[in-house]
Amino acid sequence: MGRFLDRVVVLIHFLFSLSSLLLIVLVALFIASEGLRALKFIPLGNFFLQPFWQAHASSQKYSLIPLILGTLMTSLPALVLSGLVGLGIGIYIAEFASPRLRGLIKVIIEILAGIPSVVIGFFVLTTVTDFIFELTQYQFDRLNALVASIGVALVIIPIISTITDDALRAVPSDYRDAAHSLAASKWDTTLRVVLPAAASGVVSAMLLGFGRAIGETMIVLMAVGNAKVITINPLRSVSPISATIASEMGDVVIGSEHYFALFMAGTVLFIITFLVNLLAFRYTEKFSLRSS
Amino acid sequence: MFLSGLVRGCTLLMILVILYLLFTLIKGGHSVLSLKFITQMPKEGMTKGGILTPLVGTILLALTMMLMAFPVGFLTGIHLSEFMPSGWISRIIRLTVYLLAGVPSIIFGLFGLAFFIIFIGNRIDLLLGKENLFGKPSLLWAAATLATLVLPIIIVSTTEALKAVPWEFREGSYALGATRTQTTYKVVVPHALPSILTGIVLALSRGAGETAPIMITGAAYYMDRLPNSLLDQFMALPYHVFTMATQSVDIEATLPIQYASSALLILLTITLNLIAITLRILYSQRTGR
Repeated sequence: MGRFLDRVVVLIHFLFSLSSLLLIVLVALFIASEGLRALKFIPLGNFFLQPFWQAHASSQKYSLIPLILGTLMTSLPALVLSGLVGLGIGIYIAEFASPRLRGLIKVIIEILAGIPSVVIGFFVLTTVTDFIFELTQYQFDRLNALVASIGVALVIIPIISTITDDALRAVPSDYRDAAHSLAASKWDTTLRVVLPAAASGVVSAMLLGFGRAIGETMIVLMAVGNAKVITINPLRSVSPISATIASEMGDVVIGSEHYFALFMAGTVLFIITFLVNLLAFRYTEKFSLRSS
Repeated sequence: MFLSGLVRGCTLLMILVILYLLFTLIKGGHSVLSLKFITQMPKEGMTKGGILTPLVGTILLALTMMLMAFPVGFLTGIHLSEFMPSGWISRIIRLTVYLLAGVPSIIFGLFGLAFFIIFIGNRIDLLLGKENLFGKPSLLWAAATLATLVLPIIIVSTTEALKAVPWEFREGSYALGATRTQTTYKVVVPHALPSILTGIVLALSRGAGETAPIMITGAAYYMDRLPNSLLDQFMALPYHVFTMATQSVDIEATLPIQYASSALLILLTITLNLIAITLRILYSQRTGR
């Protein structure tokens, strides 16, 4: 095979590799263009200055406030829950477990990561909701933000624990050796030497988990009740952005105000996850630079 | 120490929850799971019968998706690892792969609708002088949407697989006067094939389990027949679980079917994941890495 043919083949590879660049640009472009077209029919104030999302009322209103609030109410508790548990798991498998146990637990984490979110949503819908409903003595809504955030937490535990594990293992053993030579206990070393050294990696893990939690659709769709209210009570139904889009997109007429409003909600969701992921990327760079 | 008990507890908690989930699904659905279940289509408002239609739909969807995603992802991975591992263009491409991986699944659904169905589909229809052939939700566009979603998985696993091949392999090949293409495809890729296969299996598992992107690009609530062509709509297993759980005609009667469908879906994805994990273990034993 000659030099020329080789160059052609490499060029073909290059053109195909531009696909992901092309795709992310297309995604951003098409979501935003349909979303911004909403502003032709619906004034910007309608989205942010009034509190109602009513798609089927006589006067249609499309406030993003209950949606954004709903997203925060499901993803923040999920982040706290899975952040603590995921951090614990990450610390355990990085510092304390034997190599065989570590391998086994990593496989189990991968299995959890592979469970489709619709199945976790189904599990939450049938099991967790009744449990919490009884616990709170049937006072509030059966489908609510708390229940949904438990489901979301299940989904992001694998992300947080694996990245935390990677971050902790990236800390050179010199750090631990130095601490041990100063008679520090295993726990002192982990908490006061290794964890601070891996801080940017842990932050990146939390941010990536948060980004995933914000975008999670199926679990919240099934478990959150989809009530367009503004509340901070976690035991009430709310309506996150992702679930609203998923549930209303099926019946909407293409080209109607409602259709564009949903794309506008999608644009906001896209921007939020984009920024969170970009921030996480900065921290990932920091921690991989440190380990080299 | 108290704290080591705490982290052990976290791990145990996760394991227990997973086991409880599997237990609930099997307990609820075992009365319905059988060979008949897999080979029959849903009947009587989906309160009886099997899940053949969603199962076939999901298999067709996953295969079509892989046919679209694998060539693009594989070539991208090879380029990023072998031909241009450094340089500003590659850094940007890596960033876009990362960003693509972080896009929420419902946004991919919106993209599939706005781009594949409305923008591309309608234009193809215009070109062919047809009415509503390509410009509607279908297996083709749902697969394309999913292919966009799993592309980062294939790219990353291909790059990782190729990176694991020792540098000496390439050096020896170049020393014998081979071109970049020859070295890559005759020396490096064959060695990395099991790992690349792992990536394909993981991507299949992910694509088979996704619901939100296919909800508005082609999945149907109910069809009394299998899809006729790529331009037909289809039933899909994850969407079936969703509709049965939330919009069933008779929730009581369909409950065992819901459990069984979920169990089957989880069985499918877990089996694929375990195959991928086993491939990875076998491969590392073979190369001692």
